[in-house]
Amino acid sequence: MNFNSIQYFTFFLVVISIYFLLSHKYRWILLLCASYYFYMCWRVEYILLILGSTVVDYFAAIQMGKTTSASKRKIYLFLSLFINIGLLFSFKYFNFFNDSLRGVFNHYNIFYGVPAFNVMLPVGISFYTFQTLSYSIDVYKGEKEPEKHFGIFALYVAFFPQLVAGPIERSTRLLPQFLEKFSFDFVRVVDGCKRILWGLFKKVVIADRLAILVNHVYNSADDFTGIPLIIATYFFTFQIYCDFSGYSDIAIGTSQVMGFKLMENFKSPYLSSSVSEFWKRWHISLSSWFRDYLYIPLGGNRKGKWRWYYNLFIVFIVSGLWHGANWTFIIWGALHGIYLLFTIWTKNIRSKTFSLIGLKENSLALKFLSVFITFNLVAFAWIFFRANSVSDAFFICTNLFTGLNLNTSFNLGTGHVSLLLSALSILFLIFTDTTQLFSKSSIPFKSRRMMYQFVFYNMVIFGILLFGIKVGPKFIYFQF
Amino acid sequence: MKKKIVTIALLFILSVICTHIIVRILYAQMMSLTIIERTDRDFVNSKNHIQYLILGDSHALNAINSELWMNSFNFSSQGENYAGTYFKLNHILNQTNKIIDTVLLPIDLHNFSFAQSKRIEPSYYWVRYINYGEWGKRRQNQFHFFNKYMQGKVFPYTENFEQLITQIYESKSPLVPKRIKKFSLHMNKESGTQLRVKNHFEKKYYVDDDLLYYFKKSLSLCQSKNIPILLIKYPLTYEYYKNALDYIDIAHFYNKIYSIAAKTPATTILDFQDDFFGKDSLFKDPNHLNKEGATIFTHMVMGRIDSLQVTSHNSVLF
Repeated sequence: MNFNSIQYFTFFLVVISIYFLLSHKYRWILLLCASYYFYMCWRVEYILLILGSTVVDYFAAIQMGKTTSASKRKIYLFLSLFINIGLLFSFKYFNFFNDSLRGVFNHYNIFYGVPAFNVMLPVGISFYTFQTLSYSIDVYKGEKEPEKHFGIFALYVAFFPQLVAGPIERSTRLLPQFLEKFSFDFVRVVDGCKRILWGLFKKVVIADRLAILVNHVYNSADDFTGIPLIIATYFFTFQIYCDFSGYSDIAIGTSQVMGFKLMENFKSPYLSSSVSEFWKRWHISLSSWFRDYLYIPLGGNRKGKWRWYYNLFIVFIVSGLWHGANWTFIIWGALHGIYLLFTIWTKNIRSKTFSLIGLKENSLALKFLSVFITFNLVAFAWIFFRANSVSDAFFICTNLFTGLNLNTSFNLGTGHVSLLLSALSILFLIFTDTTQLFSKSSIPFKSRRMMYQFVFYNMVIFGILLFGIKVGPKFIYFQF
Repeated sequence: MKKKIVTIALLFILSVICTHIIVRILYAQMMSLTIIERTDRDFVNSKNHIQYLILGDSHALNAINSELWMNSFNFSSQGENYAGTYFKLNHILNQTNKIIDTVLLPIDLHNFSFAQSKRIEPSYYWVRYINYGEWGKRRQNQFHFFNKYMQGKVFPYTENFEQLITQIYESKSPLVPKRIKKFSLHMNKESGTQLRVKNHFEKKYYVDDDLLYYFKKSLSLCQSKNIPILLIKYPLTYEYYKNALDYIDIAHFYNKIYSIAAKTPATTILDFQDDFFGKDSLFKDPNHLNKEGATIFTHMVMGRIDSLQVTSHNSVLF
């Protein structure tokens, strides 16, 4: 059940209506049943994975709460980590490592007989696994009391708006909200609906439209050089942003309608003036997860310069691997790690250069230049994220600027009107993102005059109705 | 506070309704530029007595040039299937004052395919002819057809607004290369034909029971009004025919159609299917005649009909 389907909106309306009619006491049952039903719409049997993970983490946390023995607590934490990471490894990474090992063995002509594990990747496994892992670690560290109510804990693991693609919520934030009583608040409901509409617009009008062109070029990358590759790469940069942030907006909006506040996942990331700032604004729930549960435990920047560099790089490699079991994602992560290290190493040189050419520290020109460079670096890295293989990615990188001839006609898999609509919708996105950044509101045009809001949301609604792609691809992050 | 919220909500709803009205008017204006709407207007303004009424999809639309054929009207439309044809015919015969002497209906290979059963757009046009309740009941998908009905009546722009803009832009813009009008000059004849045939026949089956049902109903309707019917097998390229053999048992298919036709008096079958084999320059694609082809074909049909002397008492001829 995709968020951009009639089925989802019917499901949502039914759940919301019953939710507000039900007494607070029984709402968790409704939400849990709805969440399990929502997940089973993809594949019924994979609900067992969520159930298994829920049961293990629930009991591990309860046992950790009961004992004061550090070693016993460690055993329960290890049990939780082993089961969760084991599931994730089996379903997501086993074949990748297995194939890589087979490649090495074959290279040395050694027999390698471990068969592949041919199963479909359970949707959202990386998201809910990380969510439950954070709970176990928080309980182990004593930052969170174990949740005694099994149903509420199960709901925390499977809460449908953020189950399949985040935001990855912390137990300290989300669990207490399930115990709160939310009544129907018109303003909150309207704000939630605005968020859903904007998310839907980003998905069906921008992302799905750009996907047609991007897929056309990237799925047969060898056939193109120069401008089509550049256009497709920039378009993918916006496609993935609109696809994922669109999903997050719908998830946050859906929760907001019911009264729950999920964490923000995006804050106009393409307007960042450095790669480190980009990671504070892109997929915030994941980057903060890595910061809290990997970077800091590794020692962060407290164990000397070289160890700091190492920690940063490792976090980005793992982040790449989290996205997918493929070398393209690892290179994408590594590239971001390199960007960050390069930024650190060249900090002084850059300051000197800027002052030499007369650019002041906080000047608008420098800010604009920084945003421009950061955006292009990020866009370049997306090549590895989107390419079907490492060889495709390298082909694209090496052919981005070959055969640059504006007079050459090229087929981008879509007509002029669609191309124009793509460009206009990107401009509309940049405009909205900029206004959001200045108004510091996650809901577009919330702080503007009523008339502007009316105009904006009319444009959004009719944009969806007139130009939305009816049968578009799934959300990109569902595969992770 | 509550009053203010209600006022704002009402004002917003009002603004949405206003936008809807504006967009709907804009859509109607744009639709009026399309061939399908122009043909509809021409039909209303045409003479009350029409000797030959041609119905069908793009095959018929492209093949017969009414301007060359006195007292004929080509009321075919792109993507029209037999459900659409039946309801349109029913409307013409029962709700207009037009007098029709003979009806020409298509019996091409793809006319009864599953793919064809899905094609009945735009709803804005078809809602004036089709009884979506009945069609939905037959397809056992009343929700879908209710949706289509609503689309046609209330929100037509949700169906094909972008296609419309594209269509208008492509017909006017010098930036868009015009399509090659001769199939013989196409670069990818082979693969293009394969794809087209695949799109026509690949899915599920090539004889859809519901389309057959409306075909029979169309014959019965004409019979009840004493109107003779000419069933036309429109010309195809050899490439198309050859590829279709991979999907269809053509002999079996036509035996089925002929047996239905044989049960209806005053039904004549005119077969032009292979008359244009090897004459690819007369087609614009594997299965549609171009303007030149249409001129030749229209004269061929006129000549063949003249020799037949069709009346409402004729029996099936081959």
